[in-house]
Amino acid sequence: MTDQPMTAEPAGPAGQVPGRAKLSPRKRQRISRGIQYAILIAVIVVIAFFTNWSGLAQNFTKLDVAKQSLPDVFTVALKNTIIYTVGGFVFGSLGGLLLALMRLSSVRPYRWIATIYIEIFRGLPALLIFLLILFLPLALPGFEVPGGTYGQGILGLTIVSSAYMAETLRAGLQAVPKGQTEAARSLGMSHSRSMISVVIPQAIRIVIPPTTNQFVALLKDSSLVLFLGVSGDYVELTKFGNDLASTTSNATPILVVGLTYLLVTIPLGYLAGRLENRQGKGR
Amino acid sequence: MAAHAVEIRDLHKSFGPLEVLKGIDFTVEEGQVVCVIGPSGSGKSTLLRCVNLLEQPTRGKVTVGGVEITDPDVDIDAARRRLGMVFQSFNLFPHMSVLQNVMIAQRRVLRRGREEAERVARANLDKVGVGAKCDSYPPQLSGGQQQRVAIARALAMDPSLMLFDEPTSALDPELVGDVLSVMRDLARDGMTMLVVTHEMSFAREVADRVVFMDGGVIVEEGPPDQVIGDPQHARTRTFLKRVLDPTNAGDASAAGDEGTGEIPAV
Ligand SMILES: Nc1ncnc2c1ncn2[C@@H]1O[C@H](COP(=O)(O)OP(=O)(O)O)[C@@H](O)[C@H]1O
Ligand SMILES: [Mg+2]
Repeated sequence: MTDQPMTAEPAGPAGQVPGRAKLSPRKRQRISRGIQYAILIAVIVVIAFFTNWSGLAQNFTKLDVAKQSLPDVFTVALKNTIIYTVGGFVFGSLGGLLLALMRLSSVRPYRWIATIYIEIFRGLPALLIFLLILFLPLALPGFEVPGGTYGQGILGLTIVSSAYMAETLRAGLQAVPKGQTEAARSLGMSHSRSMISVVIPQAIRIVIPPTTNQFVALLKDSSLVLFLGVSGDYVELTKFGNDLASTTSNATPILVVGLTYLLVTIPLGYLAGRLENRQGKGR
Repeated sequence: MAAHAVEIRDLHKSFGPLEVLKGIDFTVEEGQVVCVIGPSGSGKSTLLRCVNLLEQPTRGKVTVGGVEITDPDVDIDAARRRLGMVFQSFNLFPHMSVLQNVMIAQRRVLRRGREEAERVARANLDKVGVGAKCDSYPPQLSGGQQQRVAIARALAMDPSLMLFDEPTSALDPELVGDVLSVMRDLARDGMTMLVVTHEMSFAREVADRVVFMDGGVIVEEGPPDQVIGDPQHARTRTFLKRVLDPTNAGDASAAGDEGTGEIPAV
């Protein structure tokens, strides 16, 4: 496979005729592409032949089961998924900003604390953190996460996202040129004032694209709320799909829920890409 | 005796093992323009940055308008309000319009009301010839316009001293003149200025005194006609020859390059 398209190259100045290969690069490229198409078609034929189509259709695309999931899949499940995600994102961003500022602080213990937190919670599976929250009342009798089920779900997502946001925001803060702080300080602004007016607004612009991607990741992680044993009005998409699939003994709800996730994640992914492009072009 | 506008005594600055300033002494009087010239790496920027404490001096004393800013207990934010700084790379705030750039410190530091801040901002932008660009964002402006906005931003704080660190070095040649003419006007209006520059004709015309630095010390200082017109030291002559006639100065480089080793007392 040649990646470069062949363009007509001018002959050398002395008029030498370049040696003619038996197969010109153009011909070789054509043959290679033909082989790739042949492989693809073969694979498709094999899959189509061996798949149990009617079984799949029976299990995944039963319209009456899909109808059963309406309207709750949107009015309850998606709504809750968004509540958990947005809650975790908002508190995670605030916690992340605090951790990022601590990590860049001149006070050494602050740097240690932030580093330890980030290393621990970036290194643990999100599921483990949810299990931790689940068992927290055992360790601390009488302790209750404020906000009930929503509070527990949002707390879990906040713990996870603040560790990631801290690193993203730290990179953003450090990406703001040093001259910006120097200009602000030269105008008599205090350290915190120059952070608030000059550095943080620019850092936020820098981190918008990676943050959008983190929001998508958090949306998917919100499925772990399932392990908190939520029920009724608090179920989010995955739990909703799982429950309905069990009661109807049919996989269609999983497909419905999957499509509902994509309804949110794909536009967000595009948005992140566009923001990234715009940032590449601007200034 | 009235206080000097700037008084620098025995100023030393090291970055780790690298000693960049090796004992600088000089003063700037009220209303004077002092140009600092010298080869790249000789410590000119570091000197300027020690005057507004963007760099913490290792040793020595810097007094600005009678206030010792090297005093550990000084309110440095308050001291910096009286000092305008103009950087080689402009350092405008890219997320704010030109007008906001000039207003933000007035509002947040001097606590001026919106109307007053805007009036002062517009007046200063008009003064430097970019009054029509109030609503533009810095990346939309030419380098020369950006640097003039940066000057207006500093002037809006009513500084008693302006520091310029090679303000025209990042500009396309045809834009240098606009910035220099703004600085010339400032000097004529009696602003006290400390200017690091490679623009020898500007230094000759505008400066009351020229300071030539090399290897972290002041080699020679005096009126421009003397330092630039009739330099006494070989290192000054070598440097000037290179700056004024770069194409033919290649063979005269021997004296300058090893100049950091032993420095004659000034
Ligand atoms: N923050 C810093 N850390 C380490 N070395 C520095 C720093 N700033 C300047 N220097 C060094 O100090 C010397 C003088 O720099 P500078 O004052 O910028 O010179 P000039 O402005 O005359 O070109 C250079 O060798 C430079 O590498
Ligand atoms: Mg410099």
